[in-house]
Amino acid sequence: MNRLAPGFSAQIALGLMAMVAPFIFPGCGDSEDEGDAGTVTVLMDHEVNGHPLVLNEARYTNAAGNNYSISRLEYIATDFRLEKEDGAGVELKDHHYVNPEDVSTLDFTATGIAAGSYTALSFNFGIPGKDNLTGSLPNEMEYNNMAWPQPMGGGYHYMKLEGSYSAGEEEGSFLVHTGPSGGGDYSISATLLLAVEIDGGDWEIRIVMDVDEWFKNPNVYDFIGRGMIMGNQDAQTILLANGDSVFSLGYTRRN
Amino acid sequence: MSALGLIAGLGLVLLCSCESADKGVGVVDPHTPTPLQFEIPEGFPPMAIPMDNPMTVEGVELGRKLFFDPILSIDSTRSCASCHLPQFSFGDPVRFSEGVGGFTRRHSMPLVNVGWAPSLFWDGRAASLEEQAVQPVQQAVEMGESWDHVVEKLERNPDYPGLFEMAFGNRPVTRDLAVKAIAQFERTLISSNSKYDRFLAGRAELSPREQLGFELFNNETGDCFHCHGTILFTDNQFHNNGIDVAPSDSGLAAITGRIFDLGKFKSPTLRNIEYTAPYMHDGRFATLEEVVEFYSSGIRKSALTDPWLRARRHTLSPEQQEALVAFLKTLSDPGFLQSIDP
Repeated sequence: MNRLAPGFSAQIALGLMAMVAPFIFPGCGDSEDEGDAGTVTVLMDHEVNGHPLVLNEARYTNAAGNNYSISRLEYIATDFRLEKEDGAGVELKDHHYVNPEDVSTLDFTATGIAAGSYTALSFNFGIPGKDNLTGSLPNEMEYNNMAWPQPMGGGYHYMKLEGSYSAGEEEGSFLVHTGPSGGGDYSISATLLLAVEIDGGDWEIRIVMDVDEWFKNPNVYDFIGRGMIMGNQDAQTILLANGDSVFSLGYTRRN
Repeated sequence: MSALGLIAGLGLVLLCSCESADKGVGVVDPHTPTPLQFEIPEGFPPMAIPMDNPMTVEGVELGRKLFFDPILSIDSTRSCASCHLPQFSFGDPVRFSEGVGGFTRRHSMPLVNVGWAPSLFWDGRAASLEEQAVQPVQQAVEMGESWDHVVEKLERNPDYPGLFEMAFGNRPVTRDLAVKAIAQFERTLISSNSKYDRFLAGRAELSPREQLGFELFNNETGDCFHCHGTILFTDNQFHNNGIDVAPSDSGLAAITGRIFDLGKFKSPTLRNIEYTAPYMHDGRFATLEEVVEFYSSGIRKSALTDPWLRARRHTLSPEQQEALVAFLKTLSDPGFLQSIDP
């Protein structure tokens, strides 16, 4: 049987182990703030003009007067952070895929959130330019299906929003696919003000995307004449500007 | 052992304690199947292997034998391979496949890279390969057999009881084990050595025509990538591609009951598409040229048509169509056709 080398005692060995254990088993231990750390669940919800989003079956009217229905909504949001007034913050999640047809994508939970007073939740809609690289997200079906083709510059779509519309005699489909069109950065940095006092509890933060906001504020977005827009930087610019009012805070609550 | 060595040793023990604890120590089960060293090609996503059906050498071999064995059909004339022929990328060169009770109403889907498919069949009615493998045996048109009778035949066969024991240990032959073995075999049907793969790896160059096709495939002019993107060349989703204004085959709607799913079918992979004619769920197009011409100018737009296709404005020139076909043929992997023997 092997023995400890001369000069080392079992106490020293155990002491060393205690020192390195947190690095070997980071998920098993608790931080110094064990009693105060909290859990935050972020819920992604979707509305159209204040009404719950109903895919395929509901008809809506946008500011341009287009009657429309929505058959697909998928998007990627990145760098979710809870922030304090002094700018310090904690990361909740690096990236998240959202698809209202798949309820498993409509929330995520971050644990071990340090105690403190948080005043904002921030995240990016899409992936900011320098980080939007093919292969930078997990090699999984939902992310791979959001790829922005390499011949068009690579990276990932921010969003696929699709459906059908009618406007007078004209009927057609709209494909609001936002992303790094022409190598540009049309991602949106969203900051939602809130008041969350983490003190060991379980918190819920509900974020609401109002889909119709993409089409009206401040620019009216008419589906007529706009089909595929992946290569249409004017359309991407309009949607970038409209994106400022798309997300809002639904509620925060402690469970 | 040094103190650090002791720490490392303890750490290993603790880490190992996170693993399954059901492995006996010092007991050798003569029927323990051999785990299959399973290599995922570069760039492909991880394959989801069911926890209750791990890949084993013996399981795959049993699955291979079952796949090619007509014992699964009521009159011992049709096997899985009768409609999924290896030389056609495990597809069928005829429009509708002939089973023991007549002809199928849809074209046989090729079985290539199906281990990554989250659903099977044109209408997605099976959520796993195991679930899929149950159905053809029972279909009156295809094999017209009952699984109870199949199990009886397998138990009476001089080879199968031993092969099942090798694959699954000392357990009776059952339907569930048979379909597990078939599913294991099907997960090995991986095609990843086409000219396109070598191009991605920097080991081949596309011709100017193929390169043009590659760009058309991946831009809004050709716009193939939305349904047939990713390394798998399928989004594994369902689309009404405007092939019919009033679909006679409900497709996905027959499974979901939703009117807006009428005429939606699963996007098939385009890998080995050169070998899998005829095309579409009903095999109505005999050539790739016909398919590309359809997407260029033949889509019958309606409220049911997928928005991607309904919005199409581009008609492809003959040169562009030829380029697309040339690119599609770079997805051919002839080695795959020869890699599987009965």
